Amino acid sequence: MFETITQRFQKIARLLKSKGIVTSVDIDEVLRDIRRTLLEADVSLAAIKQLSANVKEKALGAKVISSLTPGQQVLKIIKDEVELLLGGTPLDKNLLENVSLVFVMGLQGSGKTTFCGKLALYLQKANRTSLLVPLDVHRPAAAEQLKTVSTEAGAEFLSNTAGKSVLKICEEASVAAKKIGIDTVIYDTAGRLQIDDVMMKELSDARMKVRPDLSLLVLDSMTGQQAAQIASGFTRSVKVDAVVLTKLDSDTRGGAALSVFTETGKTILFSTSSEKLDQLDLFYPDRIASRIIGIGDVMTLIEKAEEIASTKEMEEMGKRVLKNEITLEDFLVQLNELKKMGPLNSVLEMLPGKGGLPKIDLRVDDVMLQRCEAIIRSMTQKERRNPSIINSSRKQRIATGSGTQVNDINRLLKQFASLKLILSRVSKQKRGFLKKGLLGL
Amino acid sequence: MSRGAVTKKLSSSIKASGSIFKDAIDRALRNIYKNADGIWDELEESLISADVGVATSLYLIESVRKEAAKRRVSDPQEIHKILKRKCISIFDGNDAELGLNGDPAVVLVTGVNGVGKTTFVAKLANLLSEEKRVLISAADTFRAAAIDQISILGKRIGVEVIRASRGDDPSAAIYDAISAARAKSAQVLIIDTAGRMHTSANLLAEAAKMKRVIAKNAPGQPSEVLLVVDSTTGQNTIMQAQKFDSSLNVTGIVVTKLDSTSKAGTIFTVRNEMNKSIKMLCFGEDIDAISYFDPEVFINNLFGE
Repeated sequence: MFETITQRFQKIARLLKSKGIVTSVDIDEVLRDIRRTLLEADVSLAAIKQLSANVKEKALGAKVISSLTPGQQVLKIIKDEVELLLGGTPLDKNLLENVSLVFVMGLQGSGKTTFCGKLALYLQKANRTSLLVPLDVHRPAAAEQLKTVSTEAGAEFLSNTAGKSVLKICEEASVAAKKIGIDTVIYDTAGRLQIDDVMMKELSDARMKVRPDLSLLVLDSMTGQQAAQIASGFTRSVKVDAVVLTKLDSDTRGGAALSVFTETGKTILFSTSSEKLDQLDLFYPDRIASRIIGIGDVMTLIEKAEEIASTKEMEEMGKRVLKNEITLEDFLVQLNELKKMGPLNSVLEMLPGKGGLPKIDLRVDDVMLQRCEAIIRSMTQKERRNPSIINSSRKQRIATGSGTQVNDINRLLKQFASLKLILSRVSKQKRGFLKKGLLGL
Repeated sequence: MSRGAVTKKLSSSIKASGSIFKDAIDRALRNIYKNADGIWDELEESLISADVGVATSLYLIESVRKEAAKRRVSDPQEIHKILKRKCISIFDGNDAELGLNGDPAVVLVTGVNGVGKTTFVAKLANLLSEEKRVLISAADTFRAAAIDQISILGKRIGVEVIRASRGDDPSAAIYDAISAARAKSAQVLIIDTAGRMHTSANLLAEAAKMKRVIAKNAPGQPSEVLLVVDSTTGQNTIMQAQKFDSSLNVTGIVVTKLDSTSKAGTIFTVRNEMNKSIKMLCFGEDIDAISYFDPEVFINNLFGE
């Protein structure tokens, strides 16, 4: 997500930074670019207008004009405004610690049931048990789907609900939750359009009955200009505490993410990607804003890496990375580990790209990963540790050995070289970047 | 139901979306006297708010503007008419007819997760079964309970569903379904597949394999490769269409959830930028909430006539 939008913002950033003085004409030009970028990304007109007005007002203030680096000042203002569009302050993470009744709502096909499973797994990691309750009495086999999902997430499931009314199921759920001692009850409601009065009434009736302490609206991140209408429609009929943005593994430009808060005042709590139940992330507006503007999201990257890289081997490798002594063997381990962190593209999005990092094509899919593995396994130990000795006859041998082409080997070596370059930068920046933040780059 | 009747049903169902589109354009046109230049920006904004997309909106506005200038038209009503004509002309050559040739004619239904593929498959099967012997292949072996869902729907409409088991290779499920369709001498075989992100090369390759398996076991098939898109999706629709098309050579687009407040502007984008035919529209959870795409009816609805 956000890839295209980030590229455009980086172009704008380069333009701004090249300027010694920033005039109001420059600002207008930049704002035109931003408007177009955001429009193409499905951001709502209201959100764009808000951003433009605020950027203009702040950018023309005295502080910018007297600054030695006006371009960076303007960039900082834009980043702050993008952060504001994304909701500004993130929701309190501890919110989830005391939540006992969660309502999950949304349009058809937005990903409610899958999210319920992800939430259950997330809570389980925090040592909280959950009960999944199927309130979708309309779509055929909806309960069966939730049942399978709850098994996969290791959560309890309220069975024997077929043919019962929504309110009856709510009653049975609270009885069951008390009986087996459950920390969190998650209600998976039926998909509905916010303009369907009958269905919205069903939802508000169920809400009155259950009185959930957290009501989540699930929104497909690919939603277009309708995102605002959908969110405010739900907000009008039932209380919505926060939004969950799904399907971030698509190549959406993130219009929904950038519009929801302006239009409804609701903050995004989680973002999710893929059908795998562990792909659930807390949503941090400041980090996402940094990612959109192209200054990277090192915080999330470090957290993710820490979550995964706990083994001795990874620690050792971490040290080598910091010393910039990474080898192709590490690269192989790294590729496999990165796979666990999610698609490599989403990992790379978090890296600061502003300093003109080499453009690298590190699209990792399983086929490519297999090929890389085959290539590295066809190398001698010496070659793996010191790839610079790989000359053309060695390449020929490796290609034959791994069933690939010399081209593939060249590509791998090139990617390895650029990875090394990035890692060396990250290791250099790690301290400096975190301390100095945006303007320190 | 005749084709005309099917199309008519659409009108009442998408009124909600239609009127919003109309309001935006009317508002822009009302301001024509106040601000002669601003009106074009406003028209462009209303098209973009309807998810028409920046490039297609610009193209539409430019061509209306040119024609208005050439014919020296400044009357809002006239401009309204020109815009409507230009909108309809985007769909010139659109062929909503489904090509169902072969014994059986195979229809492969694909799309990203949650767009409404399974519901569409049931609606299409129900519609076609009035005149033909139809069989459904439940080849979504990935999503939990997807096979149960289509089986229940199949029972409701009285169309047999060839079931696979969860976790099976979908191509194997399709192979079985083709054999079953032959044995039962079905005329149409509709294949419901798992939702897949267009950004996943592996899943697109899996879909391409399904298509190859169909072609190998039923020469000349599939007759139709339909891509189902959600009308509430924004500009991502075009990315979906491009990626699916490059793997599967999509023969037509099906747009769902038109009973939402979506203005379905993405239909214009897909048609204008990809030159794919819009085949069918879906607008609700009722089994007969489906119609063939008729540009004139659709645009009359959008413009509120």
